[in-house]
Amino acid sequence: MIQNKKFAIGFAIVVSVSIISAMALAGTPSSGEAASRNELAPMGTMIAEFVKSTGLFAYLFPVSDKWTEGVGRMLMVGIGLLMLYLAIGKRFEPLLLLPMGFGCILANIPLSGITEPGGIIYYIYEIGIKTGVFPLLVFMGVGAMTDFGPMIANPKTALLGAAAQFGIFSTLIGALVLTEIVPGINFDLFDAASIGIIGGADGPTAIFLASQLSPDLLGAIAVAAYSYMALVPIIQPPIMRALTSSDERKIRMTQLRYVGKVEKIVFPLIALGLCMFLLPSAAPLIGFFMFGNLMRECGVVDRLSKTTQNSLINIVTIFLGLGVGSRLSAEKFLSLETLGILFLGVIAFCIGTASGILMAKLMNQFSNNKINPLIGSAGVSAVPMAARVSQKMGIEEDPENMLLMFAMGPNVAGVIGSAVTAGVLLTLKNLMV
Amino acid sequence: MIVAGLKLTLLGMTVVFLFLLVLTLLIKISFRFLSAGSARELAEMEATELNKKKRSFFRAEDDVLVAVISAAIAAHRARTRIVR
Repeated sequence: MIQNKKFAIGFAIVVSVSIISAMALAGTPSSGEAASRNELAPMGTMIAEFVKSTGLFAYLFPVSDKWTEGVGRMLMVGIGLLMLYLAIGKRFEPLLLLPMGFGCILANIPLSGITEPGGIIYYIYEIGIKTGVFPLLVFMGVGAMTDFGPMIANPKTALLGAAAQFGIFSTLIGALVLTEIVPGINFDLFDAASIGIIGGADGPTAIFLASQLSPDLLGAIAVAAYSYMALVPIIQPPIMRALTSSDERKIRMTQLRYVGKVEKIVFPLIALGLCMFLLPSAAPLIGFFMFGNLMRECGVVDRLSKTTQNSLINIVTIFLGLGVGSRLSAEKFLSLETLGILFLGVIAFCIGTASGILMAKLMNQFSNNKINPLIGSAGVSAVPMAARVSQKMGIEEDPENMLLMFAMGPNVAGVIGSAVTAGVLLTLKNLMV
Repeated sequence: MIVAGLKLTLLGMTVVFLFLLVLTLLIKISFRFLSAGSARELAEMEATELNKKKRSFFRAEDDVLVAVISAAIAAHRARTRIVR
């Protein structure tokens, strides 16, 4: 008992000495601060303040009185959930739509500050997307996964990839036409270029270009690009059927030659050299793409190649999706311009598909070595889905006609073509008056 | 603005076609220099494939032979046991 009393007295002395010395060291203002950190407001005020700090209150009664800050945010959460449904339920580009949908939900939680300076998604966007780092790292991974063999074996099919880029430019013009005729839509040349790149059917390129030219439209452009890429098997077949005859769809192409290892190693260096001399503005995209490909083909850095095409691309994709999702704010997304972007996106895909097919038909007029026009549609990138569509359509007409490898030629050429187009569009700043 | 778009389209499509056309030509030129190596590589690969096939064929044939001989020995032993 006596020992306990002694301990209690000692403890009280130590505590009071500590408090007195702390107060002496801190001075008068801190004493007030300490008081405010230890005292609570009356119960009624506490409850009222707590209710104000709930998400539901912020959704219903936003501070700024703007509908986009309240109900708009709720609608955006709905759009995020829709993206999650498309990714999980419909398997539409799940690797990107899932993190994008979740990023969209996170970005629209009121009062969380997650997308403001200090919030994690703010830093993900600032570090990875605004700088263009993440799309380029993804592009490097795509390069490490790409086999250029079919294109090297039949180089003329690269022209189909070039023709399909017409979808990008026709959409660019379409965006400018919409600005002229639809009140409420106001795209400048930079916005139009960023929207047009949706037609390249190449996610990283679209994100890279939009982040450089029109960061405000990034969210809508990325959603349109990835959604339509997932819809390639639905969008392309009717156009392919409409523009080709049954006989054309039955054309059998000559067997592709064997492409040696050295040829595959030299190719990325040739493409890089060409970019170096002809279009340095495309060097980030083409450079990273070809670097990834060289790692794959040279055969001496298998570890790096595997990391690039697996772990690295997966990690970057997670943050790329979250970062892009964070740009899906109600104020920017729930507008007439987004509807315009979604409309123009599908037009871009259709025109790109048609251009590739028509180019194949044109080439057949001047060559004895016929090309099946179905592979022209694969020029819109969307690797390898567009090539698979060509294969499926070919089999429908002739079950023994395997077009997949032939279609991979224009398909990978389309990736180079859209990177080159992005390079041209990036020079816009220098082309202005 | 639409005229600006048309100008950009003309420039852009020309550059894209030019880029891929030159790339096509360079691929063809590089093939001239590298085709001998590729042909040699293909021949080596085909020879290796052929050897593999032969080896697997003989291995399969050996397995059959061993099975036949084992069966014959087993049958012989069984017969001699009955005679005794």
